Amino acid sequence: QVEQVKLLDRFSTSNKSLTGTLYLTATHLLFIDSSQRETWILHHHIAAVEKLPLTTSGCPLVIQCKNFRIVHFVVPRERDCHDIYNSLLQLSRTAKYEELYAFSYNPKQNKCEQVKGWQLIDLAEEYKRMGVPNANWQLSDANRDYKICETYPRELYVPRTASKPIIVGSSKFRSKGRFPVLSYYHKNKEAAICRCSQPLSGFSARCLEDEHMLQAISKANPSNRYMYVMDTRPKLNAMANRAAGKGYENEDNYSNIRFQFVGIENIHVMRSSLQKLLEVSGTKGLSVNDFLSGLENSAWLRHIKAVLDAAVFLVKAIAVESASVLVHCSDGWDRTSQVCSLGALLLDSYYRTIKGFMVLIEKDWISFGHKFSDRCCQLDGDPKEISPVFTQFLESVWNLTEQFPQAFEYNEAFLLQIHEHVHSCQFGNFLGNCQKEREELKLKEKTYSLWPFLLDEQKKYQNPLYNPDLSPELLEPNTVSFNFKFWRNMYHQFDRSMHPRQSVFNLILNMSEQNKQLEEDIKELEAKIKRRNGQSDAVLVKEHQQSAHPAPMALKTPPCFKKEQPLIPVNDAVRTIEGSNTADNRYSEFVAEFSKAEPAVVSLEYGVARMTC
Amino acid sequence: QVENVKLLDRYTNRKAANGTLYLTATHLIYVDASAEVRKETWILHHHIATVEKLPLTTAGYPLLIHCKNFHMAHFVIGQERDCHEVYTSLLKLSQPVKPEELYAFSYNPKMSKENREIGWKLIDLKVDYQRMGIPNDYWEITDVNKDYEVCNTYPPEIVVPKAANKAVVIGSSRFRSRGRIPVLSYLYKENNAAICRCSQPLSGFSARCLEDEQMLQAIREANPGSPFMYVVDTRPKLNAMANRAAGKGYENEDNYDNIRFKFIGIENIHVMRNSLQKLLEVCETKSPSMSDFLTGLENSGWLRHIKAVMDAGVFLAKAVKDEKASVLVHCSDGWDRTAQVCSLASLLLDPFYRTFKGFMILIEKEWIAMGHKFSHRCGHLDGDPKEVSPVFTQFVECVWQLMQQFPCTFEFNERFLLEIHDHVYSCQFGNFLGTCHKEREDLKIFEKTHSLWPFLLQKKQELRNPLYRGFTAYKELQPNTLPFSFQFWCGMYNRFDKGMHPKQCVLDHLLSCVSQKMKLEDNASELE
Repeated sequence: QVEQVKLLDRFSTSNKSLTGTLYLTATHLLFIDSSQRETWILHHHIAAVEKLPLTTSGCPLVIQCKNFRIVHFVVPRERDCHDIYNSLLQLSRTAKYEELYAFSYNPKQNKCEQVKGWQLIDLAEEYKRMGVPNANWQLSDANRDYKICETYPRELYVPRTASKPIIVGSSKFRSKGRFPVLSYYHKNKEAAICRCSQPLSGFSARCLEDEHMLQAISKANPSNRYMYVMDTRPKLNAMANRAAGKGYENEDNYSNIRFQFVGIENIHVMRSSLQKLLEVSGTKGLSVNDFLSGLENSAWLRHIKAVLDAAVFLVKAIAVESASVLVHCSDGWDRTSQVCSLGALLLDSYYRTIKGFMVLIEKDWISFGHKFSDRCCQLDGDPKEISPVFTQFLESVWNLTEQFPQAFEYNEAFLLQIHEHVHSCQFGNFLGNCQKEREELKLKEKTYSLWPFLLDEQKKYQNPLYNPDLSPELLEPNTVSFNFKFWRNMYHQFDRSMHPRQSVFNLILNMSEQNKQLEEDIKELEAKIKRRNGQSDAVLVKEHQQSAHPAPMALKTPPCFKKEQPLIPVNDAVRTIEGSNTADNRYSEFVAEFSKAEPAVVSLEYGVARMTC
Repeated sequence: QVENVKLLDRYTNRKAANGTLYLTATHLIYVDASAEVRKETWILHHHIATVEKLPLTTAGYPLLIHCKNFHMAHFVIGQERDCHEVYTSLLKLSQPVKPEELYAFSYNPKMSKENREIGWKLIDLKVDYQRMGIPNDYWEITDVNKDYEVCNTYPPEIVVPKAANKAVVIGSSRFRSRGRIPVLSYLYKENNAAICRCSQPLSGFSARCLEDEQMLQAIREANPGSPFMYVVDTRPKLNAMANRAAGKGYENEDNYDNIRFKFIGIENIHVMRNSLQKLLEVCETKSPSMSDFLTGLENSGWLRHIKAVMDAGVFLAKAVKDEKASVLVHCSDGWDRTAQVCSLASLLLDPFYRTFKGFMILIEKEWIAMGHKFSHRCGHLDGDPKEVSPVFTQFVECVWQLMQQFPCTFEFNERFLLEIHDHVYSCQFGNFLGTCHKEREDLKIFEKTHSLWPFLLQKKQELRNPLYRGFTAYKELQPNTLPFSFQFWCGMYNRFDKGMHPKQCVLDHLLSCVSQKMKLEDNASELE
């Protein structure tokens, strides 16, 4: 505990600071300022701690977090500062999994709830939803004991025609044994997204089983003769890999494949790109030109665009050509996860619901072995393994929500919260690098799953504009450069002064809730009227249908308010009934409240200017 | 009328539409024949900025039309003769020489004479001065400029300090470029601090003028709460110094009592014109790469200029509200940058200007009445291309940027801004014709044309902001002007490229939500 510590604001020029007390707990760093506001920083979130040169007001200490929070403390005494520095260094770098927060976190849930929480997301159920197993695809038990591929889950779906020897042979020809398996099955098109790692082809090696495997995938799709093989790496990188005995598929050796590079850069490029982006966004007193050129130099948005472009390519192959696609990169756990999951998100509206998004992450990221532990540096390890691959995925999704504001059940806060917990190590989901490791750690017994907690606070994460009826099943995003924006709420989430001063979210939420409430009230009233006056039933029912769901109609063709307006029926039969019971009084209060907030209806005559010219 | 014309889409590579081109007296109309629903594209001749013939392609003769509202149409015409005819007639039609040829003089919206007059009376600046509390002990509305003798680009009625008598006013006017003396633009009632505007002084290297010094003193003393006042020169220092050689320049702090002089550094109209040109080139690139787009945006400097204007507005608002000091703003002639900065500061300080009516008054007051040269800046008539500059566009964009930061404080939405921007160039209504009030009177604008504002008010329903929290919800705005807060305005510069916009329109949804709510309420009250 250190008193009289100052917290500096990152961007304000006035050098104003908050004075307060710093506490160090076993899991958090806690700062309480003089007005009792608390700032909590989880030790696992700390990416770097830095001591700056001594200033007149004390010893500055800068803490950078993995969720892009940067705090700047000034500690009056050097010894205190040094103490904090050392203990933070120690606490933020964990050597063993067992020391992670998830193993000590206890949210007051009983055993039964814990088990239930883990069962919330059931991938077997998910494959059933997609329509597998079916005549062409089956569940393979080849990897039941992690004998073929350690980083894959136990349960894998493969073409029915791929026998065990083919699977085993193919896996020997693929880097880390990650042979082609099903990631997403498109029921209507009967086309599949499959994923694997690069083949060990070198300059000329081939493998009959692997060729059979691809043929099996291709044949499992009766509607198209050929299939796409997407290598998500830049061509140069893939060629360089050939020298190490890896590489890419030779179109001559495989029958009916169409091979395509899509050129997403590797984890090292992404890491330094993010580094540059953060440097730009952290600069004090930045000019517009510096910002734009910095944004360009970092190339971050270019990478985001590359990822989305790849997903769009994948989706077109499936939706337009009904062709199956096999996706790989080097090991098939970074870029492949990005592209497969985004592709599925564009194809299937289920993944745009809150539950569906959880399923998508569990399937394409967690179960298929995206190395969360290494990429997010959960344990003290090789800094070269760290890379913002998952962050990029979330940012791509955010970009989609900007283009399709009504297509997603969840909002930005949901994405940010997931990002937070990927790094927090508070829940077991993202610990470890693959399912096998997670089983060995006994995560399901010793830790909790994140998803039930998110579902409990679902309300916070709901997108008030969500309207599945109006949103197409297949999203076709526009990937022209103009559409990519800097994600301020991610990279400046904690710089309060930077945010729009007004949150629209609650307003919109209120609005749609009021509408719902009104609809219900009307139903109630009508029911009452019906009871009293059984004769005018027919009229009422009709009217009710019109009034209950006018929103979709109005939306498809906005100008039709005009047409709709006359639909408000002036029903004299109804008006004659004057029920002044309690319910009605409550209602008129309600109306009075609204009429204050909203100006009176103005006639909806359309612009004379344009119509007469 | 030319048939078999193709309209190419700018970004998508979809099949070009086939249709017919019609030329009317006022519009170029393109009717798409292939679509099931009759799709028409109307382009007002006054909106056309340039027409260009491109080299022959296999499909025919391409004709490229750039509009002032950033619409771009790419036609391909089958026959060369047709193409040439369309080209020459468009050239002629898009560049009227005499003001009488403008659309506003022939536009007839079937409105009675009375209604038209009522329309022109809708915006009355006197009412706005009354709202600010003028006349009061310190300020008065003077008719010294009744016959445009003091300044022919100012309106007949101007507000000056009571302490400044006629001699001071006239003396000061001789010392200011084009006689544009310091007059009141906005009075912040709560602390009596005022925003005033004028043109640069004719100070050269050493000239001074006692009346002008008295004028500034009168302004400072009209705000007893503050011992000093700011004088803000919105030009870059270098430009202002260069002007001294021409006998103009800026105020010398030693000659005026208790002024604090400050340069703000907004670039001049030529820099702005070039910047927009560069920005539009970026917009026109067919699928630019991410780096091209960002470098282009940076090179154009457009957002930097927007930020400069915004920063100046914020400075003014802070001086008035926090330091309680009056501010005198000028640039060179005091009708471009000064108009931007004064109107923006008023918008930040006063929630009234964020309503429909208030925003109209703001434009009438700071831009139209005070003589922003709309006719020259927008190129209404065939004239000097060096006078054209997107000064007003920048103001509109600043307002839009504010809307992004404060989504609930404006009564109107983006479409209202776009609508105004369109009509500034359309010459369909009289408001923006001419360069100053005197010229407008000479043109008999008020008798012969219609006012835009009543037409916009009729469309209120689709131009309103569904998230508006009402007049009293927010007072002064303190926007953030870090570079992160400025976005490229797709809705303006790529408005007509349909493929570029979010696929789902939140605004439509919210508007329909609101109208649904009203309907439900109606319904409910009927049921009761």
